[in-house]
Amino acid sequence: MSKQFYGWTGKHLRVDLTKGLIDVVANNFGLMKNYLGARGLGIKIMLDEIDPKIDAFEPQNRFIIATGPLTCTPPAGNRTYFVTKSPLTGGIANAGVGGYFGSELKFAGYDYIVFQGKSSRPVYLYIHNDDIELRTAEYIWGQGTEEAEEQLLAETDPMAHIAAIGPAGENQVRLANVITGGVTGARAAGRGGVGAVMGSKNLKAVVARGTGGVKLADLAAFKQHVGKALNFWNNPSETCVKVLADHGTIGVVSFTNDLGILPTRNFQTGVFEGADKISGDTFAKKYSVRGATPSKACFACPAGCARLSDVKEKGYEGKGEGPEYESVASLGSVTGVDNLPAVIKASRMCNDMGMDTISAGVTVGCAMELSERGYLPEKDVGFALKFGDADALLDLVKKMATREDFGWIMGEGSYRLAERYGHPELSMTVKKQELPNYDPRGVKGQGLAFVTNNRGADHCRAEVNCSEIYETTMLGYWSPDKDVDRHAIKGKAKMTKHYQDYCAWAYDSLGYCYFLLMDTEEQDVVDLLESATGIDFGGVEALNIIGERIFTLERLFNLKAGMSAKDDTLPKRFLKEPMPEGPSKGQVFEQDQVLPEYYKLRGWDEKGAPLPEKLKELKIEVM
Amino acid sequence: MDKFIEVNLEKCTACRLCEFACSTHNFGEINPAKSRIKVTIVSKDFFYYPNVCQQCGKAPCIEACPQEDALVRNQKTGAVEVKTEACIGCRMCVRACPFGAMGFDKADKLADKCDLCGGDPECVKHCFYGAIQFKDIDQTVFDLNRAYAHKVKAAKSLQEVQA
Repeated sequence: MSKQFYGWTGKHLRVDLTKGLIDVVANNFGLMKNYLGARGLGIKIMLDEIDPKIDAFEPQNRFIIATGPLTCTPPAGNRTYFVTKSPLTGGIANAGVGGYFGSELKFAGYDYIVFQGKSSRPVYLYIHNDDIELRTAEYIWGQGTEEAEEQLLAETDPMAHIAAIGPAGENQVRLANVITGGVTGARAAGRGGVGAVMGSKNLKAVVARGTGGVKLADLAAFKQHVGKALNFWNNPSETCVKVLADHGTIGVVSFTNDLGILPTRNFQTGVFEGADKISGDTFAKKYSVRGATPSKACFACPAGCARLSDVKEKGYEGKGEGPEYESVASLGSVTGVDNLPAVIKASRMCNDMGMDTISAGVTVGCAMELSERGYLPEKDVGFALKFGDADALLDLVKKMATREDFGWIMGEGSYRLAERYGHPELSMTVKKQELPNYDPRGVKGQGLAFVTNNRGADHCRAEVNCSEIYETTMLGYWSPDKDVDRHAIKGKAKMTKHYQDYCAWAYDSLGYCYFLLMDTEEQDVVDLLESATGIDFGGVEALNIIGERIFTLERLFNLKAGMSAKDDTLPKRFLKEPMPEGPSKGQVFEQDQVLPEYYKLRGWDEKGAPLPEKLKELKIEVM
Repeated sequence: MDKFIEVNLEKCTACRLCEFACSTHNFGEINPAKSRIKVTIVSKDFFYYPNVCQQCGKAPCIEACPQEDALVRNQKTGAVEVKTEACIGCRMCVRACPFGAMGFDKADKLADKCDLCGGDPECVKHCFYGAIQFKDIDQTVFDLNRAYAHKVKAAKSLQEVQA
């Protein structure tokens, strides 16, 4: 018996690129209920359908584009997830993106798409409600995301929304991402090299246009819950979201620098002397099209945290969306470059080339340190590479994406680069994925999340820093009269696990952006979900177990792919070299103290493998 | 009443909450394609324009309508409303609207347009930054007038400085 879906559209697409076949398939109700959508659904399909040991670029690797039941709803449901085996980490990849693409896919009538195989020629998938076809992409192959997007809009429908790869994805650069909105409307599904997998399948883009509707089970109740969730927004005084709306995430640069955790010169220190030059204030005064006001939003989100930049300085001129905090820090302080126009241009280039700004910046930073320490010969790079060189940054970003000259190894990411030159310890990565921009010596819970997140070093899969530094009430750890000591290690294992399990369902599987819910309670999200879908999920506890199941399945995927406890580690720098200066001076990350506690809390053995009792508790069949 | 939905496009962030509000209120589902207010997004120019009926005084849609009573002004709200029993779905009004704000319901094959939600527009309530505001025309004229006066004042000071 088929059931009526609310929140979900009830259908999905199966695309076999080798055979050129497209199937419209009804969703399995039980599957949606147990795995929700997006990231949760993605890992379930991956484990069911592929051997985690295969190479990410083999045709049988799946490439899944999945929305959640709350994608296309306020207050912040607009996320789409790209799930596949990562060519960067060798484990699971799930990259999320906001914007409009996922909502449009749902209006066309589909919750998710599973691609398999490999097309013999470059193609793009065009979805216009019930009309779905694979079309040639030969004429846009090689183009940047901005130009490709413009051409595709002209060829299909100006109201369509597009997810595309750039030259980096085509060249199977391991840092390649998927871009929606081109450069001037850019939102990136950034991490794990998902764009490279798309490129390996000769899939240039997915174009979606939908004119259908999405029904919710109890619209009136849902709207009430949205109102409650947004109440903090209506009284914005000091909330983190208000800061986001006014300054965008780039406002964080000064904040982390003041805390002494702004990664600088490949994470050698947490204090950047040039922070003021790349700060949110400087950006708002000189380059932001709308100054310090909400500029651009994703679908149905009131925050509008995106910035619009217009740079006039010669050599760096151009318009683009962004840059975000992570982009500015990775391409700026991590490389020691304090020339903001150059950093903005580098970020724009990354968006056009379809490359993750975090990994790209940290890889350039790694090359700079290798060079300054004399491990990387000048003749290999072509010039004397030093921290702070803006021209070198732009040169290497471009070469990385096109793989020309020294770019052939840079495009492999910092781990493979540093390993090749004999110093893998200088690669600031976990599971070969570059660290985002919080020095873990100054935010220990976040550091533990970097160590243990399944897709490698990453902040989004557990934003523990919401409690540690941002002073949000998320998950109830921080409150105005209860501070969280960011340097303490005690209690952080529990906090990190809680964040990871919660994010796995509440954000990454429902399709929510966590920015908007930082000051809401867990029960608020349950109310939104239950009124939207009409399903009784059994409350916060039951949903956190779904989250834990999703997290554990990803762990099993990684273990099966060949990872082990030895991959759960930060680079030696954070464990052995005390922070040299600033408010976190003297701090190291006490990994050997916190990791065993975390394993125990997770119900894993010393080797980091889930124990049979835990699998039984989570109703995971032994694979 | 002379209130209408004023559009301030420089404040629009293209979040499209207005489309959510309109389509859920009028059609019971989230459906931007049916929404009577639509945000046009031209990314490369950073241009976001929430387009909605301006309830024109000498409404081209009414003038173009071959029926007597298919498009009627609601005297209480000032909104031009579609009377579905009289509308024949000829789309003349769609072509006549200078804003492209007249919609067409593809299922019913009849004209479909903003009726100001009976005098309390939902879209305006969902707009966080005042990109769309429900205003009396006197207020709009006053605001524009004053903004222009400030510009002149600034220009005059400049002249004095230069002199």
